[in-house]
Amino acid sequence: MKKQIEFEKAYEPVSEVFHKRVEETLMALGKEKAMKHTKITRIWVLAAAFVLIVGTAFAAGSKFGLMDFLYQDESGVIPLKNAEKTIQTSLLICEEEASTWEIVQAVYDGEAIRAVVSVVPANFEEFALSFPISDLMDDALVSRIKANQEGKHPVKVGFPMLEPAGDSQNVDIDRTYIQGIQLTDEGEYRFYIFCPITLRDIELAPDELILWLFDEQEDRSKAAFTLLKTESEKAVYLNADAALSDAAVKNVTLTQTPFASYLEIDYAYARTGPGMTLSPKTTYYATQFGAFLHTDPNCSGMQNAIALEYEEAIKMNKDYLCPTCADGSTEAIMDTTTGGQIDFSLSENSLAFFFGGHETEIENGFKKTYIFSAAEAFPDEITLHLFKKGEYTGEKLTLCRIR
Amino acid sequence: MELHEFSSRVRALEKKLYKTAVCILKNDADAADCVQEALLHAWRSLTKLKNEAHFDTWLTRILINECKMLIRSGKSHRTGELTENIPAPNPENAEIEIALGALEEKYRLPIVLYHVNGYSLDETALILKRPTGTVKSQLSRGRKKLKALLESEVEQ
Repeated sequence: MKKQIEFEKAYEPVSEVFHKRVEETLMALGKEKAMKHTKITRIWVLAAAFVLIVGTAFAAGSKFGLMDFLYQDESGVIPLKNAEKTIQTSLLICEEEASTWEIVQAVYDGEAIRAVVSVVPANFEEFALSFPISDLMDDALVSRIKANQEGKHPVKVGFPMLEPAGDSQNVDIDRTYIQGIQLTDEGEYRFYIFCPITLRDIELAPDELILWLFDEQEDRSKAAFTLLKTESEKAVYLNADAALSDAAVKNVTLTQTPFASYLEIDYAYARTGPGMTLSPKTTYYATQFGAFLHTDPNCSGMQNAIALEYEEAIKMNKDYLCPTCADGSTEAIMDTTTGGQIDFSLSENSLAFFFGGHETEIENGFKKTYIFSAAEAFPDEITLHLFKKGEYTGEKLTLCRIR
Repeated sequence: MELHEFSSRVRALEKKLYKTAVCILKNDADAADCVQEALLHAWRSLTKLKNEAHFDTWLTRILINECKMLIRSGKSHRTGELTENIPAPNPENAEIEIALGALEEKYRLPIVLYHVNGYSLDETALILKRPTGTVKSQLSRGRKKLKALLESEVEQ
């Protein structure tokens, strides 16, 4: 007799760590500020960054600035030649009893914030800053940190974080990435932090950001500062409709900032296929929270349905045509916050990975999505590769620069 | 959806979320981090959920994306071997977990969603954003490989 595979036993039971985190998160959800502080503990410390310290001989007093960190990390960012001129300096100094915090340099290009934050103990001969040591830190860095702390009084601090403040609360900073750490002979820590931003309900990135500097260890902000947006350039590749089998595309624009570039694509799902063929000549009916588009306003006892012409019906973005009155199938076109079925890439081999990963609804069923790249110059043409449900379709759209 | 209902649905789904996250990330610490991010993301994006009947598959999809983003960023504690950061499987379940762990993710994840978590074929396909036919064949091949692995464990 063949033994049955006991699938139900796999990964049992739920770990206490996981369960506790679920409960903590649910408890904190109602309080937005508390939730942001919970997020503070989720700093990402990138392993690749620590190569900065290993084997790098730097003279005492030689302190890394933003460009030094950039050229030494492995993120693939290639800044433009004029990038250094856009960096703002000495934005904030916050002197406290045991330590001094300073935003030494920072730049905001509409897509992300890059900053160098300095944290210095009040008296480095007697005191040493004590940051949490991550498993991802390089051994050499950990040794250097421990050597720096030997024989000194520890000053417990957390990693620096940035949070939007004041009028900038329409902007979200989901994560702070620590992409580099330098520890000088004077016990000063310099952190290179990278914060991609996402925008809520606004089309254009604000011209300036007001930000709080937080200590991740404490539950309060230190001080606020203002960061101006650098100039960026745009190149337009498409400003009319183009059609692929599963998508309509319009308005493809590449924005080049001094430190990165990102591609905006306005697209919509093509409303074809067994589930969702809509007719421009038909009036549809739907309720706000119903799953279907109907052709009968009283279908299955439905009440208070609103009448929709073709464009409005598309905009409602329902998943199904009603199988009872509108000849729909139950094949669902599921939309998720990550872009649904359709994705674009600059490569046919894989979907582009992009920080921020934001997609916003615009109008008439169209969405705006972003692909991040580190291109240094505007190409004369770009090719978008269409992915459907994570697989490359073989379809592509090559666009030449218009202006 | 109010917070009370959201919390209730999350708690009902907790076991499935755990099994999904751990099968991708292979450790509890990363799974806990990712479920926190996924719940935050889901709560803030609730207005984008058009049909509450899809809540479970929608949240699972968000969690899978968080897990994959963590791996892509290089911050995961995941390794190819067991380390002190990765707890050893419960002795009662060791056999199936070790065998699942040895499968490639493209087979392991559909099997966990379908067989372990009990999602239907259509739901599994929706979560993975793959055609139903593709999921069917991945399940079939995955089961064959799993059986072969389990049989070789028994022989040892």
